[in-house]
Amino acid sequence: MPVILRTEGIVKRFEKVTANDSIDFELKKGQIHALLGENGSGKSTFLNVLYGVWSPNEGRIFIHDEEAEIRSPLDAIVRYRIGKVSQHSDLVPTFSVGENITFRKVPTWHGFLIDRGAIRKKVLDLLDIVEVKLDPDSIVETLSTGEQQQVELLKVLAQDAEIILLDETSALLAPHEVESLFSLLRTLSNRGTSIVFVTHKLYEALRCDRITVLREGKVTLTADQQEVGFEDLLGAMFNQRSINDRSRSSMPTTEQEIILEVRGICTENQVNPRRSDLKNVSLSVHSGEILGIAGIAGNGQGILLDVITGFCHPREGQVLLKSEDITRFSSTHILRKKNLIAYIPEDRHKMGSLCTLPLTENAILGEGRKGSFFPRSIRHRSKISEFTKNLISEYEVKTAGMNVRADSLSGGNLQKVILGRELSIHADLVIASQPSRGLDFKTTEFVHQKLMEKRNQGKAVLLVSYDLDEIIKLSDRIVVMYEGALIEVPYGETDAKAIGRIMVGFYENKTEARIE
Amino acid sequence: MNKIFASALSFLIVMGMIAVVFSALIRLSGFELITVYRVLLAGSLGSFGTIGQTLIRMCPLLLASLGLIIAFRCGLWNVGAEGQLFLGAFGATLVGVYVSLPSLWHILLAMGLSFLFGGLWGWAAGFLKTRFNANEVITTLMSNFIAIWITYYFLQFHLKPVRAFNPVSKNILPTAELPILIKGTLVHAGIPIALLLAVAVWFLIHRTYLGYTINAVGANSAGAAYGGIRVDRTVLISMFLSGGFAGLAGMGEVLGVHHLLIRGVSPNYGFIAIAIVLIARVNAFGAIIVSFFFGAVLAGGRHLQAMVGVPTPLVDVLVGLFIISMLLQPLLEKRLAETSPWGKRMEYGSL
Amino acid sequence: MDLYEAFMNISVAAVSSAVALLLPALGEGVSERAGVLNIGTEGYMIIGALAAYYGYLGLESIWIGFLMAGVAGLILSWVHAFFTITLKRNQIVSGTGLWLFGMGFTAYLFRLVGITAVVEKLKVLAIPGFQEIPYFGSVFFRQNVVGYASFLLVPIFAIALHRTPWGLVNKAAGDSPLAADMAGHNVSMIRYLSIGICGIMAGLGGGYLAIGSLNRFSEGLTAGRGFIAIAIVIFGGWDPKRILGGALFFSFIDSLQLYLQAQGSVIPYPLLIIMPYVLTLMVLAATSKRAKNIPHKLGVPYIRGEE
Repeated sequence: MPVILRTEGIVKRFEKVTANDSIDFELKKGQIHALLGENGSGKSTFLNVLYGVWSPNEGRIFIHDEEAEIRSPLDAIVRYRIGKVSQHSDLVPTFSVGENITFRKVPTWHGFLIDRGAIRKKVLDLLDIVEVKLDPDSIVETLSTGEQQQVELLKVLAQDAEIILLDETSALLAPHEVESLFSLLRTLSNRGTSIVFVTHKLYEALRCDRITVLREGKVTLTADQQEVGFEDLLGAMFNQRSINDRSRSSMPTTEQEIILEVRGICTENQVNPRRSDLKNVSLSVHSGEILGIAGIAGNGQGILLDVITGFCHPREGQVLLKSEDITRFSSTHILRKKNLIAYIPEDRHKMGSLCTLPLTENAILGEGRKGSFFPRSIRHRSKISEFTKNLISEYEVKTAGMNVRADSLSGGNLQKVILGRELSIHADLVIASQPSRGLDFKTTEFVHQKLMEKRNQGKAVLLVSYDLDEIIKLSDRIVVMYEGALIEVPYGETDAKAIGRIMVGFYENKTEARIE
Repeated sequence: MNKIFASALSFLIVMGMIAVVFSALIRLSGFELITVYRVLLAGSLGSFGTIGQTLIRMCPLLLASLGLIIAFRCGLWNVGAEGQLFLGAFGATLVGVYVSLPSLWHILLAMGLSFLFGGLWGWAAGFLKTRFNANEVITTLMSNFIAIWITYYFLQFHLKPVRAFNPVSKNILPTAELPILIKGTLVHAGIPIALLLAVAVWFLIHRTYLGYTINAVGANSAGAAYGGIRVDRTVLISMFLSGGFAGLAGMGEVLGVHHLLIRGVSPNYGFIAIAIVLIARVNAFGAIIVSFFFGAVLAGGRHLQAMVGVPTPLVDVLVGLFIISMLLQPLLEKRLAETSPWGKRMEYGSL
Repeated sequence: MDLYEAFMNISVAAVSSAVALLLPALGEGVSERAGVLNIGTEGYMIIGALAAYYGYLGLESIWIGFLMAGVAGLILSWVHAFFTITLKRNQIVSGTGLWLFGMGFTAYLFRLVGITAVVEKLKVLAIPGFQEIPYFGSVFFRQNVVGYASFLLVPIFAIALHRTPWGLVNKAAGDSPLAADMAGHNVSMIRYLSIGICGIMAGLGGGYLAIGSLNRFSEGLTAGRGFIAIAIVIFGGWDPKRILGGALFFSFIDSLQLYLQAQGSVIPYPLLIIMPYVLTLMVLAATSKRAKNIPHKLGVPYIRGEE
C-alpha cells in the first residue's frame, strides 16, 4: 500500500518546551496507525501540526509524496483532505444529525431552500457505508457521547476526508461504544481511508495496524502490530527509571490515623455509562503520608476528586473525613471546613483563583478563614496585608505588589499563591491536583518541598498527578486509576515502567480479557 | 505607560470625545455653544436655589446607583432599577399617607417599607436566576413594566382621591415629609441620607465580609464556590439590597420632592444610574461625584428649552453618549497601557 | 354596546396595532437567534419613526418614508453591531446607551425642527370576498398595505429561518458559534446581518407607527414597544409563527385595557396589562430550566479560541 502521509523531522516548540522533537512518521493508505504515549508526550501537538493548527518550527510534511504546507484547519480539509475529530465537540447541539453532517455545504433546492431530501440521502448513504445505525433527524444533544462521536466521524467523511485524525476520542466512551468505534474505523480503513488514532491505552493501540510510541516528544518505537508485544510498548512509553532522591517518611504510615477514607464509590449511571466512571473505588489516606494517585488523564481522577469534595455525589459508597460521613454534603459545605481540607485544584484560573481581583483577595479566599480575616464580619486590613506579605515572601511569589490583579501573575506564581493560601491553614487533609503542571523546574521543586513539609508535619496529603515522576518522587504509597478502577501498587515500587504498565491497562487481576 | 496614567488619559480622551460630539450637535442645530453651557451652569450651579435643584436630582440618582453598584459587583446586570424605584415610591406613599406616627418614626418606617418593597422585587429576579437560571437582564427588564403598572394600578384605583381625575395620590402627612434643610431651597433631608448611605455602601463593599463575597462571586462564581462561598445566597442578598436602594430612590422622591405619588415619579433615573455606575467604576464615592454631575446636567437642562430654545431631550442624548463611551473607555485604556509614552507600541517580549 | 360588538371593536384595534409589535419582534427574533440581544430596539423604532415622518413630509412619498425608516433603523443597529461584534463589548450596555441616545436624539431633533404637520396616513384596503368572513373577515382583512405585508412577512421569515441554509447558519451562530466558525462560516458577518435585519424591521415598525397607523410623529410614540418586542420574542420561543401569536396576544390585551379605560370600567386594567409580562417571565423560567429554545449563547460575544 502506498504511503499517503509522511513527516520528516517535525519539531514544534512552545516557549521553553519542545513538544515534538524531530518526529518521523509514515501513514499508509487504508492503515489504522496508533499514536501511543502518556500525558505530555506530544501526541496532541503532533496531530495539531498535521491539522494545520500549528506550524512546525522545523521539519517537512509530505502528502502523496508532495511536500505540503498546511496553513490552517480549513486548508487541511479542503486542500489535503485531512479531517480531525477532537475531544471537544464541534457539533451544533440543537441541529439534527443530518444538519450537522452537511453543515459546511448545505445541499439546496434551486439554490435557496434546504434540500432535506438530499441531506437525508447523503446521511443514509454514509451510514450505509459505515454500517452504523443513526436517525438522521435526531437532535444531536439528545444523543449519547458515542453517537455524537459517530456523527463527528461522519461529518469528516462527508467532507471527503482521506485521512482522519482521532485525538483521544475513545476516552469518553462506554466499553460497547469503543467496540462500535473500532468496527467503524475498520470499515473505513477497508475502504481506503487512512486513520491516525491517538490513545494512551495499550490494548487499543494493539488493535491498530501499526503503532508509533512517543515519549517526551520523541519517537521511541515504530512497528507493525504483529511485531510487538506489551513489554516492548511499555518500555518505549516509560523509561526504566527508579527515582532515588526521595525523602521517604520514616514512620510506617499505615498505623497512623486515617484522615480520609473512601469506601466503595460507584458513579456509573446506566443511561450514559463511561469508562471513566468510578467502579468500587476505595482508598484511605493516613496522617503523615502522601498518597499518590497516578494515571493518565480521563481515567476517573477528576470524578474521584469531585466526589471527595462534594461536587458530585456517588450512586453508592461513602466518603469519610476523620470518621465523619461527608458523602452527601455539598461542595460548599465541605470546602467551608477549611480547618479540615485544603484543596489545590487542577484548574488554577477557573476554580482556584479570582483572577480579576487583587492578590490580597485571592490570598484570603476560603470561607473558613472568615473568622481570622474578618473578625465580626469587618475586614481586618492589617492582618490581611501582613498575611499576604508573608505569603509572598515565604513562597517567593514574583509580583509587582500585593494589590495587583491575580491574572497579571504568571502561571507559576499564581500557583504559588494558591499553594501558600491552602497550605497556610492547618488542615488535616491536603488535596493537590496537578500541583506543578506548567511550572518551571525551580518552582516545581519548591512545590514538592512544601508538600513534603506538610507530610512531615503529620498532615495527610492526597496527590493526583499525570506526571509519573512527580508521583514516584513524592508518594509514600501509590495507587493507579485506570478506567474508573483503583489499583494498588506494591509498596516500595519505584520503577516507572512497572507503574506505567498499570496505567495503560496491563496488570493482573483484570477480570476482562482486553488483550486479543 | 503605567495603568493609572492610561486610565486617567483614556477617561480624558473619552470625555473630550463626548464634549466634541455634544458641541457639534449644538452648533449644527444653530445654537451658540457659550449660551448653552452658560445656561447649563446657571441652571445647575448658578445660585443656591439651582444648586438645590441639582442636589434633589442627585439624590435619587445616587441611591439608585448605590443599588446598582452592589448588583454589578456581584456580576448581576440589574436593569430593573426603574421598576424597583417605583415600588419603593409606592411603599413610601402607603406609609406616608395612611400611617400616623411622630416624624422620625414615620420617616424611618417609610424608608423601611420602601427598601423592603424594592428589595423584594429585586430578590424575585434573583430567585428566578438562582432557581431557574433565568437571565437576569431579561427578567429585570420585564419586571420594570410589571412594577410600574402595579404602581399605576394602585395609584389609579386605590390611592387617588375618588373625585380626582389625575392619577395622583393624596398628600402624605406632614410628619412623613423629609424636612427641608436649607430654607428657601428644595434641599431635603434625603440628600444627606443618600450621602451617608453611600459611605455605608462603600464600607459594605470594601470592609465587610459580605462585600468580599459579593466581589468574589462577581469575579468568578466558580472560584467563589470553590472557596466555600454560598453563591446562590450571595446573589439573592445582592439583588435584595440592590432593589432596596433603588426603592429608597423612589422614597426620596415621594417624601422629599413631591410629597405624593405621581405617575412621572422618575424620568428614567434607574437607567441613568447605569451610566453613572459605569463611569464611576462601580465605586460608591465615584458615584457621589458622577451622580452630582448628572444631577447638574438634568437640573441645568430643564431650562434649556425655555431660555435658549434648545430642546430638553438633549440631556438624554448626553446620557446615551456617556453610556456608549463607557463601552469604549476600557479598550482605549488597554491600548494606551500598551504604548510607551512616546506612542510606540511595545512588543510583548520586552516586558 | 353589546359584548360581541365590543369584542369585535377590540379585535379590530388589536390586529392593526399588532403590526407595530410584530415587525420589531420578528427582527429581534432573528437577531437573538444569532446570539445578539438588542436592548436598543426601542431606539431603532423611534429613529425609524422620525425618519419616516420627515421622509414622507420632505419627499412627499409614503414609500420613501418607509425606506428612510428602514435605513435609519439599520444604521443605529449597525452601531450596536460595531460595539458588540467588532469591539466585543457588552450587549446590554450598548443597547441601553443606544436606546437612550435614540430617544433623546429623536425628541431633540423633532422639537428643534418644530414641524408637526399631519400627514395622510395609509388607506385601509379591504380585500373583497375575504372581508365577509365572520369575525376574521373584518378583523384581519381590513388593514393597510403595510399591515398586510407585515403579516405576509411571517411565513417568509418562518421559511427563511427554518428552511434555508442561511436560517441554519443563523441558528448555529446563536447556539454554537464555535461550530459555525469551524465549519467555515463567518460568525461576524452572520451577526451583522441579523442585527441589520432587526434594525430594519424595528425601523419599519416605528415608521408604521408614525405614518401608517397614526398620522404624525410625536415624542414617546413607541411607548415601550421595542421592549415589548423582546418579551414577545421570548414568549414566542424565537419562532416567527408563535411570535405572531404573541404580538396578537399582547396587542389584544392592550386594546382591551384601552377599551376598559375608555368605558370607565372598574376592571383594573393595569393588572391586565401586566399579564403578558408575567406570562413571559413564566415562559422564561420554564425555558431556561429545560434549555429548550433559548439560543445557547445569547448575549455572549464570540471570541475565537476562548471556547
